[in-house]
Amino acid sequence: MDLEFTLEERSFREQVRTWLEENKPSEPRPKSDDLEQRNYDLAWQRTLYDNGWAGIAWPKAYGGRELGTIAQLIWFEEYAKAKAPYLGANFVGINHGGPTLIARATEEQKTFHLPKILKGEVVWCQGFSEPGSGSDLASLSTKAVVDGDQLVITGQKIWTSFAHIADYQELLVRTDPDAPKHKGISWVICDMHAPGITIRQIPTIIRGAEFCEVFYDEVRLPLSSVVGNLNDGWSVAMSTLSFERGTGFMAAIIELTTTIEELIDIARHKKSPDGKRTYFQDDEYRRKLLSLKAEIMALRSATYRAISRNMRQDAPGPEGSILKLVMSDLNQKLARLGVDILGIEALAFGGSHRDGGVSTAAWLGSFSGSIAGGTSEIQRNIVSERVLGMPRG
Amino acid sequence: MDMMQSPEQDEIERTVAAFLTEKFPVRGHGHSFKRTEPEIADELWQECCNLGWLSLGLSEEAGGVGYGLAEEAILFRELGRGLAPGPFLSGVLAAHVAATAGDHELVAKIISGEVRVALATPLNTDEASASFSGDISLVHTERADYAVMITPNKSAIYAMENVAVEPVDSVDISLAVGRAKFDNVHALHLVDSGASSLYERALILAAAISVGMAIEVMRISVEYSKTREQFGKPIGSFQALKTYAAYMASRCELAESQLFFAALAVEARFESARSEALAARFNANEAARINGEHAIQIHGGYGYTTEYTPYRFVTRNHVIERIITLRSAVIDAI
Ligand SMILES: Cc1cc2nc3c(=O)[nH]c(=O)nc-3n(C[C@H](O)[C@H](O)[C@H](O)COP(=O)(O)OP(=O)(O)OC[C@H]3O[C@@H](n4cnc5c(N)ncnc54)[C@H](O)[C@@H]3O)c2cc1C
Repeated sequence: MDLEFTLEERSFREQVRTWLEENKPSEPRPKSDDLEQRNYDLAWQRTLYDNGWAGIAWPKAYGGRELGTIAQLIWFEEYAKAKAPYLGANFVGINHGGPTLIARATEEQKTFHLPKILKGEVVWCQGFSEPGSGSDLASLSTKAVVDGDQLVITGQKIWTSFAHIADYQELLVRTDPDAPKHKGISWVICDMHAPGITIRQIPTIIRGAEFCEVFYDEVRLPLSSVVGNLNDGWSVAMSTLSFERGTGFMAAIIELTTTIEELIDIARHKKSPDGKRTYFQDDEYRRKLLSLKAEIMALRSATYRAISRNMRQDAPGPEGSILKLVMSDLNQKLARLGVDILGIEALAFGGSHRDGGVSTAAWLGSFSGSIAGGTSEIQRNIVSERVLGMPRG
Repeated sequence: MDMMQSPEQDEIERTVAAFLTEKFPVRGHGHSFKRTEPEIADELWQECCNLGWLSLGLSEEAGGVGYGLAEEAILFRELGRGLAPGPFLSGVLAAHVAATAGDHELVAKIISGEVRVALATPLNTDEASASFSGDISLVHTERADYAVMITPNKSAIYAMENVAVEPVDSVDISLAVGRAKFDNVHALHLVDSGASSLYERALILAAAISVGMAIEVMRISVEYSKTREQFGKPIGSFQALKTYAAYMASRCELAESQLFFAALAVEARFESARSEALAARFNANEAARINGEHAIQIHGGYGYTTEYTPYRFVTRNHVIERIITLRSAVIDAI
C-alpha cells in the first residue's frame, strides 16, 4: 500500500494539466438538448482523440492509450480541476457502452464500434428501462424474434437519455419469453436510425428534454448485433451496470471534491441571513461544510481503493454500489447546502447541473443521482445482499 | 384543551378543498419551462376574494368574517395542499397590517380584490422602516399595487408604483417572483409587529402552506406506491419505502400539531407565542422539504419529470422556504 505516484504518472499528470489548461473549450456547453449539444460533445471528443487523450485505459488496438486505471484516475482529477466540459452525449459510449464491448463483444464488433466512439463519430444511448421495468429490470418485455439472420424488435423503452441524438443503443430485449426471466434476455447493439424507431422527448425537472421514450415497431437488426450469446444478455447487462456504477461515476466523485471547495469559498464571502457575519463564520454552516468536506475526502479515498481493487480483478464488483450510493447522498447534501447558502438568490433557476458547481440546476439535477443507474434503495439491497450476504427480502 | 377541528372548521376545510380541486387542479408543467399565463386568472382571483378568503381572520369591525388564526391556518393549509398560485398570503397579511393601522378603506380594497399586494422579503434581514432602502425579494409581483413586509419588530405596506421590479426566472414557474432595490421608499403604513401579532401570523400562515404541501405530497406518494408494481408487488410493500412513508407521516403529524398549537398560543397571547410560531414554521419547512424529496425518490424516473407532480411541491417549497425569514434566522430566534 502506498500513495506514491510513479515518476511516469507524475509526468503524465503534468502533461494532462498543461494540455487541458491550454485546450479546453472556451465556449460553454450549449444548454439546449439538441443537435447543438451533440455537435459540441462530439467535437470535443474528437479533439481529445486527435491529441491522444481519448480512451486512456482502452486497448491500443481500438484507438486507446492502454495506460491503465491510474492514468484514468489522474485524467479525471485534472479534468475536474480544469473544469473541462461534462461528457454529455458521450457518457454512455465512453463510460459503459465501450467498456462493455471491450469486455464482451466479438473482435468484429469491437473493431467496428470502439474507434468510432473514441473519435467522436457516434453517440450511444442506453435502452434498459421500460415503463413497467425500472428497478425490476429483468422483467423487461420488449421482445426480439429471430427471423433468419435478423432480429425483429417490438416494444418500448423509457428514460433513454440522449436517444433523440443517438446513433447506437445498448438495448436489452427478451429473446426467449419462456425461459426464467434472467435467462431469456439478450444485449443488442441497436442502430438508432433503423426504420420502425420513434422517439418522444420527456421534459425533466432541470428543464431539459434529454430523457426519451423510444418505441420499436418491428425494427430489424442483424443477428450479429447481439453482444455475448443470445439469451445471455443479463450477464452482459451486469457488466454494463458494474461499469456504470463503478468507474462511470469516478469523474463525478472527483468533481465533488472541487465543488465543496467552491461552496466553502462562497461561504467565506457571502453574508449569512443575520447580516453580521459570513456563512463560514456561522458555526452551523462552517461545521456542516467541513464535515461534508471530510465525508467527500473519505469518498475520494474509497475511490482510490476501488481503483486499486479493480486492478486486481477483471471487472468492478458489487462494491461499486457503495460508491454510487454514497456519491449520490453526498452530492444531494452538497447541492442542498449550496442552495441553502445561495439563499434568496437561489430563487432564480440558473446554472447547469452538468457543469458541476453550485447552482439551483445542480440542486435539481442532484435528485437524479439516487434514481438513475439503479435507485439507492436497490443499491442498498445489493450492498446488503450481494456484498454482505444478508438474506434476500 | 381540544386540538381537533370543530365541525365548523371541518366545513371551512371541505369548502376550500372542494373549490381548489375544481379550479386549481395540481398538474405538471410538461415542456413549458416558462410561465405563459398569469399567476392567477383575474376571474378566479375575484371569485376567491368574493368567497371571503382574504378576510376570514379579520374582525367584523374591520370588515372581515371574524374567525381566528386557527381558521386562517386551515385556509392556508388547504391553499398549500392545492399549490394555489395567487397573492393570498400577502393579501391577508396586508389586510391585517392595514387594519392595525386603522386604514379601513385600504382593508376594503384589499379584501375585495380591487388592489393586489406582493410579499416583500428583505435580503439582509433588515427591519421594515418608514423609509426603506435595500434589496428586496418579491413574490406575487404580478399586477401588485402594494408590497407588504413583515419583519420581527415592524411591519409595513409600501406602494409599488415607483418601484422597478426585475423579474426572476423562478424555480417554481407558477409564481411571479422578482427583485427590487428600494431606495428610500416611504411606507404607506408602518406598525409594530407585536401589536397584533403580525410576525407570528406571517410565520404561522407560511407554516400552514408548508404543512398542506407536506400532507399532499405524502398522499400522492402513498397512492403511487400502492399502484406502481415492481418485482410482482406494489412498491409500497418494500420496507425502504414504508420507512420513508412512516417518517413522512410523523413529520406531518408533528408539524400540523405545532401549527395549530402555535395558532392557539398566539390567540391566547401566551408569553411563548413567538417561539411557538417560529417552531411551527421550522417544523413545517422541514416536513415540506423532506417529504418532497422522498416523493421524487418514491416516484423513481417519473419523479424526475415535469409530467408528474412531485417536483411541483419541491419547487414551491423552495420558494416558501425563502419568504419572510430564512431558516437559520428562524432557528436563532426560537
Ligand atoms: C436522470 C436519469 C437518467 C436515466 N437514464 C437512463 C438511460 O439512459 N437508460 C435507461 O435504460 N434508464 C435510464 N434511467 C432510468 C433508471 O435506471 C430508472 O429510473 C431506475 O432504475 C428506477 O426505475 P423506475 O424509474 O421505474 O422506478 P421504480 O423501479 O418504479 O421505483 C420506484 C421506487 O420504488 C423503489 N423500489 C423498487 N423496487 C424496490 C425494492 N425491491 N426494494 C426497495 N425499494 C424498491 C425504488 O427505489 C423507487 O424509490 C434514468 C433515470 C434518471 C433519473
